[in-house]
Amino acid sequence: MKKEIEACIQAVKCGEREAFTLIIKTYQQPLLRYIRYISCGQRDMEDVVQDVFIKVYTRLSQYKPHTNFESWMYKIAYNHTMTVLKKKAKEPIVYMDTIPEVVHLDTYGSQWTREVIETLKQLSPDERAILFLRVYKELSYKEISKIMKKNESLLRKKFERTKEKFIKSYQEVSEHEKRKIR
Amino acid sequence: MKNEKFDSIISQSIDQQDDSIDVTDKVMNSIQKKSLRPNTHFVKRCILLVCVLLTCTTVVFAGVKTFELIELRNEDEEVVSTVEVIDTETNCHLDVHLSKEEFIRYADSISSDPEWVDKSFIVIDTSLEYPVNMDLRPRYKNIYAYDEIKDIAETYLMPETIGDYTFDSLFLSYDAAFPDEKEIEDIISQHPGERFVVAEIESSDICSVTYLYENDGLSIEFEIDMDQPHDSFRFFTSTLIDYEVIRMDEMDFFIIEKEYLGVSYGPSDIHKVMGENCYASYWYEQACSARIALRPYMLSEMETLKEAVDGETVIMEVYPEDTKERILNFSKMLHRLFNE
Repeated sequence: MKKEIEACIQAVKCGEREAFTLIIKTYQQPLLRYIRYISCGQRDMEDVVQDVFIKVYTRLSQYKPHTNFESWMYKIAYNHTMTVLKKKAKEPIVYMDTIPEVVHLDTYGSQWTREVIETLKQLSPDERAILFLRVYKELSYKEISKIMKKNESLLRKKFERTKEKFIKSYQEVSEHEKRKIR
Repeated sequence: MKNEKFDSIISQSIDQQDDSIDVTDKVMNSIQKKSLRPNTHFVKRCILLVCVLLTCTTVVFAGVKTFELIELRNEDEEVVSTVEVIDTETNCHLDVHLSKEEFIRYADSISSDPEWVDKSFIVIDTSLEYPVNMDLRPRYKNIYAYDEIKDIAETYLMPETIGDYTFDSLFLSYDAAFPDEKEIEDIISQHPGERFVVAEIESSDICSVTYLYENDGLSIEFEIDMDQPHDSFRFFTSTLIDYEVIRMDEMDFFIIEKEYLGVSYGPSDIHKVMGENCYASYWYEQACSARIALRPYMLSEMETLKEAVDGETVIMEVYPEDTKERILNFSKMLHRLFNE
């Protein structure tokens, strides 16, 4: 797949726009997951995914061949998402599960997952980003430092603190949920 | 909560997202009218460099007051700091020798001067005796607000944190400017017999401190909660003597070359003696991950200890007869064990 993506990138750089389609189809789901995670499920993140791909396309000449394209894209996605979230911070935050008609019980159905969502809301976008990249994508701190433009040792400490924060919040949320059930 | 459960919670919460999406048509329609940007990386670098140079010049001539924290000495049980204040507008120097209390009062008095309130201070790191390595010095320039200076003074000039040790220089670095091991080794080689404190202020509430001791190239990295510096530093002034850091990928290993007296820990600590030839000590600091000291021989105890460890940092106690290769092999094995 990596070779195919590299070939696509070269084709796009040579003027074959249609080759970009494979890149979109390959990465749109992972990007949506990432961006939704950082934003903790805020609405309209599909638009952000779209914007990220447009940025990836226009900046393709800056991508160095045979380096990690996915990390490079995540870097663009991270920066753009943070910009969007900063702008959105001035508006009331609307999470997907607060809008009755879009509560996806299949998506966030289990009590357990709802607790996680509530816990994630306690974290900052930066903290959610590092959890996603370190735990889910299993990237090294070196790779994450390129995406988030932060020092490696800083990231290491940030991750540990975020993890502690998550665990503490999760336990509090779980207790709270249990009390509600009773 | 164990690492596996934590990882599982995070991963499953992501996996369970409904991530069906197809923006292909919208994106392709949008990019029809767009073209690829030329590679401006080199141009941006040049512009950035020019901006940085202009900014530095502007800062120097903008009347920003500077502190230069020169020495941190322990004389007669008193910690003394030499502070040089330079008013860049008048180019006047004020050399002041201060005790801890005086330094804080000095900072206080400056803060009450309307001219100084809300000003930024440039703290340049230290050592007039430093055989000039100009490449490194600019790295350590930091800008602190007044109350951060006061925090630094209260944290580092506290007698109980320094204990019996004498330090010739204090380096303060901020955020990404922390020196790497090679630079630290260079400092050590150029200052045989001297002791340093290299501190990294990561943010206003968390600080990492690296102590470097004489005769070695050895250092230990330690995170301190600035809200509770007493507890954190109390651990640190236990009688650790010589030690070495080996960094292995994502894990930090601190190897202690001599026996240490594990006393005076933080809020919670556990000592565990595991047999005549084995010594394991587990302690947990509020601001830090769990650390555990193991002897290389206690392989059979590994699983038990793994249960007890909540963090990712391992300290390994070794003896002079242990070869470096053996230590590295052992470290790799630990790394695998704690990450399986």
